[in-house]
Amino acid sequence: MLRHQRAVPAAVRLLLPLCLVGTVLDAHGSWSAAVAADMQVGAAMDRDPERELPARQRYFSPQLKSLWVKALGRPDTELQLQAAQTIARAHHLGMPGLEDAIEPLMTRLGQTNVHPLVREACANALVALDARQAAPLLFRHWQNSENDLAALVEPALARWRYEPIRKVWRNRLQDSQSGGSRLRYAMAGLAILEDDGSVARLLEMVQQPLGMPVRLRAAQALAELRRQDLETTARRLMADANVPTRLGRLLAVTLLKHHRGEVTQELLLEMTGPREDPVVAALALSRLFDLDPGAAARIARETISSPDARLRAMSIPILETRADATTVRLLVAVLDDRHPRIRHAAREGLLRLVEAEKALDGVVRERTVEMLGTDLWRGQEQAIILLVALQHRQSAGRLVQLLDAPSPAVFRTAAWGLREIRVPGALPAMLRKAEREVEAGLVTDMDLEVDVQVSYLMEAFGLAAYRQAEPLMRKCIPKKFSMGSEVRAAAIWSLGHLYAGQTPRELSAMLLDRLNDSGSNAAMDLPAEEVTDESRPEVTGLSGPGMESMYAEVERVRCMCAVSLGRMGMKTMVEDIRKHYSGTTGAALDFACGWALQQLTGEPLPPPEKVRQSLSNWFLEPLEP
Amino acid sequence: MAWSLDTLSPCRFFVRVSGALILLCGVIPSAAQDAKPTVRIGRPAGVARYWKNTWGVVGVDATNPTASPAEILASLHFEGEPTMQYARQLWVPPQAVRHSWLPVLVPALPQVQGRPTISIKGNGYALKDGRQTALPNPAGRRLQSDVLEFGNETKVTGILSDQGFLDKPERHDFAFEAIAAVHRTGRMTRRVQELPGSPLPPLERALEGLDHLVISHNQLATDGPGTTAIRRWLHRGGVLWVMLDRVDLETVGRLLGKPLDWVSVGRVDLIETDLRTVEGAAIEAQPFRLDEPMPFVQIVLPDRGVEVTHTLNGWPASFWVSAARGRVLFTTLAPQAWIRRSDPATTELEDMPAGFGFGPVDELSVVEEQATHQASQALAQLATDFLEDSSEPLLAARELKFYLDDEIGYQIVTRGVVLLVLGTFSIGLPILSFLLDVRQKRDWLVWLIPATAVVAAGLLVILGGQSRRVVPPTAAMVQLATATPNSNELMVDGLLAIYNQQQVTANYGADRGGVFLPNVADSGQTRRIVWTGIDQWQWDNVTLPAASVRMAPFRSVVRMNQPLEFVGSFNADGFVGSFRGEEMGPVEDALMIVPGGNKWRVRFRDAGQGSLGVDDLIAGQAYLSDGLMSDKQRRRQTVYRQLFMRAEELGFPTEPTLFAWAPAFETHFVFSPEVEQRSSALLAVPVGIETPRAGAEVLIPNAFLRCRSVPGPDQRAASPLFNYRTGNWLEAQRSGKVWLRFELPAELRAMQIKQATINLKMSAQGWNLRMTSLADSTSRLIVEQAEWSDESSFQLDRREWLELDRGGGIVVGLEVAPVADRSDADPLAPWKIEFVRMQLTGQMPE
Repeated sequence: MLRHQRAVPAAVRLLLPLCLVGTVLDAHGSWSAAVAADMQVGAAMDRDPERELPARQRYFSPQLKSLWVKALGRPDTELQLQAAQTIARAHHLGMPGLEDAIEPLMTRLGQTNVHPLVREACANALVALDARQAAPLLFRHWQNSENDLAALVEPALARWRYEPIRKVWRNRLQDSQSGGSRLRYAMAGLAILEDDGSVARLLEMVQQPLGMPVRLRAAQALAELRRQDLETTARRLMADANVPTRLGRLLAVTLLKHHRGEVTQELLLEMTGPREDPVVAALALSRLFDLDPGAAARIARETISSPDARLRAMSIPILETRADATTVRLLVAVLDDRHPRIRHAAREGLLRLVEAEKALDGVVRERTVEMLGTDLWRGQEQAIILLVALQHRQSAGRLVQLLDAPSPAVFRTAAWGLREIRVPGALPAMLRKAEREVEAGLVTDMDLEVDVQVSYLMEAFGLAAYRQAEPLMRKCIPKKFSMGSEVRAAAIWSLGHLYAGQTPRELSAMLLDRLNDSGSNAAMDLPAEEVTDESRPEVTGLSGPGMESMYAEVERVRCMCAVSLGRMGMKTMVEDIRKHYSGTTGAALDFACGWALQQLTGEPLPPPEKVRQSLSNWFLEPLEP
Repeated sequence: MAWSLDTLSPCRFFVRVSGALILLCGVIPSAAQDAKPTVRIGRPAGVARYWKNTWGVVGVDATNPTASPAEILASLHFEGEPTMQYARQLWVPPQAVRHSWLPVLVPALPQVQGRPTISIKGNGYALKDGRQTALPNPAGRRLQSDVLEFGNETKVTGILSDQGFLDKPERHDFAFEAIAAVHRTGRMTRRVQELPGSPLPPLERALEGLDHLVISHNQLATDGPGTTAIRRWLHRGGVLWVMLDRVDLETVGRLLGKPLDWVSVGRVDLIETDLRTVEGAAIEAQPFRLDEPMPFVQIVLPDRGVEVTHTLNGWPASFWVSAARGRVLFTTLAPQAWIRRSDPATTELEDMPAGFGFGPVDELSVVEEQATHQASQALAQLATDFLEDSSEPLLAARELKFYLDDEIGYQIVTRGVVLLVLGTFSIGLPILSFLLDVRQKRDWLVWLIPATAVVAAGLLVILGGQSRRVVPPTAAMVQLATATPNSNELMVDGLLAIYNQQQVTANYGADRGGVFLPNVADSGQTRRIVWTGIDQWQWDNVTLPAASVRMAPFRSVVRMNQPLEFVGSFNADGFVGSFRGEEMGPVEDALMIVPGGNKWRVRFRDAGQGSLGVDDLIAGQAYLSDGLMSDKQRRRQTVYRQLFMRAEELGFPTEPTLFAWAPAFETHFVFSPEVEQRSSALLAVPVGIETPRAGAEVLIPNAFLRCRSVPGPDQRAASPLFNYRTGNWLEAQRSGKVWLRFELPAELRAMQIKQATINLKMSAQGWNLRMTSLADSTSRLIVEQAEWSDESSFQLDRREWLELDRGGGIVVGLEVAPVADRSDADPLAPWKIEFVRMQLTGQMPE
């Protein structure tokens, strides 16, 4: 808190000139490119140089299939069961060519006295393999043992439009003693089979005093089969005093799923009122949006502040259809939503609004700056990202203030924002902040969030070629575990930018020293995206004098040393760098060294190899994979 | 003739290649022949922890590096019990590895009590041409030694969850913390047994060590056999907690063994929760704020078969479903919302203690003591029911021994033979007396009577001996078969008695599941149970001594083509029902037991229709008849008596259940062909109800009205005086008010009620009782009476007394207070209600 208060006066002093500088720069900036850019808050050093991660490919031994098919034919019921079960699982995991197992599965299923569990597993595998040719066989088994196989076979037969089951389902629908669970698949199946003959019975069931789940499923099936003339029924259900209000209205809105027309819209509007159950309101609003976006947008102005997260989320795209200042105001308020996905959606919605309607640019900026001025951390975080996307450089002063915000999400994003909008006037204040934190980090363990924040500032200095920050960057080169590895890596990466092509001997010797520091404890083979601060040794208790010499350098730092050496054009160090290069680019350090060698010698960088991910622990597998 | 180098060269090449090929062909098979199959026995599987007297499953891995298929036997026994061995016979194709399971029954050995592990010994054998050749394990050892994790806990909860990414703090498992918090409410250890990933062994026995199981991951969606194993465990009395924010309804349907008629209508993320009781009362003083939005699934549930306990915004947040002897708790709200941090100062995940989300590494871990969360008030309410044990069997197998003793006994000397001998003696004696009297030689009777008695007795002894020698080998079985609605599996438990006149090698086994272990420990022989498939096994090396009866408790699951149900409806005389689905033979000595413990005789006609009316209520313990009974009936009555005594302790049943004696169900146990099988089954089937035909006059006996104590208009909670599970009332010494809600079956809610009859019995000397009805929050006096000592009956025929509430219930209030003008200065004796019963008459709408 004290730190926060100390930081404010300095920021205030900077505020006015910064805004002026920002305004000037803004005139030359092009926000449209930024709007399209991917607004991921992350490290610049991960994108420069860009590393293509090796694709992971699942590997299945070619012998697996024949082994499993053989197992299916054995008398041991456990083998049969596991084979059928595994075929379905492997198919689900992407194993190719398992269609060849359909025939053996059908043979096993066709045998008499097959074990019930094996029967179920074979049926499951055939359904998973989408074996339409097995439909008559499955139908026969299902008739003999309906209860076991209903959940597996009935949806599959419906999907395959297997005609013989139509009659069974119709009979079931007519049987007044059929329970809800048996009716469930019959109703869904008849809807898929487009069985118009069932409409009258379904309509009856929707209105009869049956169990609510049965009525609801009947309504779902009916909505698929009949896309008009159900408005009267829907109205009656909405007013039915014999069922709880919300359930009656749920039935009504379900019936109107594919309806259109004035009466439908009127009913839907009625079901989007502020007192409506959110489940009903969400369904009604969704359909209303399809039919009349304007009316839906009017409703969405209310539902955007609903306590129900689902209604708020669906209101955002609906509101976007009404590009005006009110929409902007409402969406900016949602930037502070407690639900992260909703506030992200609001931010993206605002960006799309600006893209579609340039006249709203000013309002969006104005409102977003207002949000930035509040102390709502969620809103601040989203506002920063949005303003960065709009390249709103006038906000640099406020961002400098927010470097000392209490919320890590805000101070981290503020540093990132300052790096992205590149306002030279802000650099001295950023440097002071970075200096304070680095000095502290030399003495005590640096907080993980601060580590990330200061790394963004370091990157900003490098990208802006801000020479005044060089002494600070150099302080970060020596191995010091109490200081965050992100800060150190970013400082080294920025030094590479400062000295790009300048071959500084003394500096490059320091970097090479770091690159060569590869003890047995170094974390290896981690792609850049996966390298987190966990790759450094546990800091606690290791920051004492001399402790650093016992451990290898953090891999992230070594990678950036290689990158910077390449960028600085240190051709004399080609062989030193090559020592750490295996010739492939699967690992982060290999890629960094390979990239540096490419810069220094012009050697092409090999494309990343595919990583073969061999799945094991199958019940039966070959000795040699 | 001289050969040039050029002509020689192709020949040399041919010779070299041929030589190399011959060598190669020789080397490869010999290499393959040198390598031998190996077996590793003892990999933890199933729940990966083992408890005494409980079945568990261990893993078996067999490797066959040879060029031909191998038949392998993996055998295991526990150190300290070498005479009981468990084995799995496996076929392994060439150049392959096979992973399998072996069910084992963990013995109760005194030396392992209190220890964290139990030692096992394993041997592998190659089976070829009827011979066994010892095989090594992968480390090259013939006799394998290993240890299994051994538990000393009395209650065990398993969890099936997504534990794949626990190295990332943000993926810590709150489901784990929720169940650990539930344990805390029951003062239990924090230990929760995490089940290894899918697929689970397709064996119900693999789960036997668990009392409760939490399913917080949808992995069962692709594991049908594992789901079946859990379902069977549940039907035998397991308690499940399914988190519906993580498990989809299709999976739940498979878990319960029937397609569900529940409908999920929405899913929303909540940041604030305000859990309420079904009546709408808030559970906590203020809504609970979550750290981050958590999912809540909105589900429409049927009126029947589901007991909602908490709601959120009017939608079910938690509810219970019964499944045979088991119970399932469903929560629709993420586990985070059900728990509260133990230390509010600890707000960051990184600050959580080491065991957070994982549980202890071992039993004695320090983490055991560290509780990160505690149960919210709502979860604490659920925890009481969740931790209640329902896996105790209704009838222990040993309690059926008397039944089989008699069954086998009758085989030795039949009743007819005994009657013939004694009858001849009894009738012959007067005739003899008459003849001697005619011949004036009455004094001969002095020695003739004892002589004929000795002859008769001797004859019986001789016949008995002969009969015993001619009794064929017999396997007599008594089953308790429990059916579950909509499931075509019957849980069949019971006792098997095996009798052999000669010493024989027992060729016993099963080819469709179920296990029985004949008690031959006294003979000291080493016996082995060999599994050859999922449900297939046989005894190896079991010799049964001559002329002795060996008892063997068993457990089995009988699968039928269709669910077995007893479904009926109401008419003017009461209830009439019949068996549906699977065809049933004749049943005898049937009765129905309802929640609360009342029993009703069910009269079956030849057509297979069973009916019960008002007069069929059973008073006392004369379950089958108030008059004379056959021997068989007497034995059945004893079984019923034991069963109902246990049922009362266990709070069974939770819904009306029909019990009937029927021919035994096919267990697929395998005996030698000469063994004669005699068996019978006591069948328990939940009773299903159908809506009576339109316009029908109906009488609903008390058996079908669910009675609960509910909070009245002036009460915050229901009175604890009435326990709806047992039907018992507590004695009270002070004034009290109980509101009873009699709920009609959902199928009868449209009925126009004409009259209700309340039968009430209470002892309340010096107390006054006011009976009131409740409708639309208004209570109306029905009757007020002092000095109760006998059973009284009241007819309720006013319309306002008979109004149903929204859930189809009639609420009656019973207010007991001291009589106002008491002259007696003595302290009041406590009052106690014995029972309150209601029956209804009415008509179905046209």
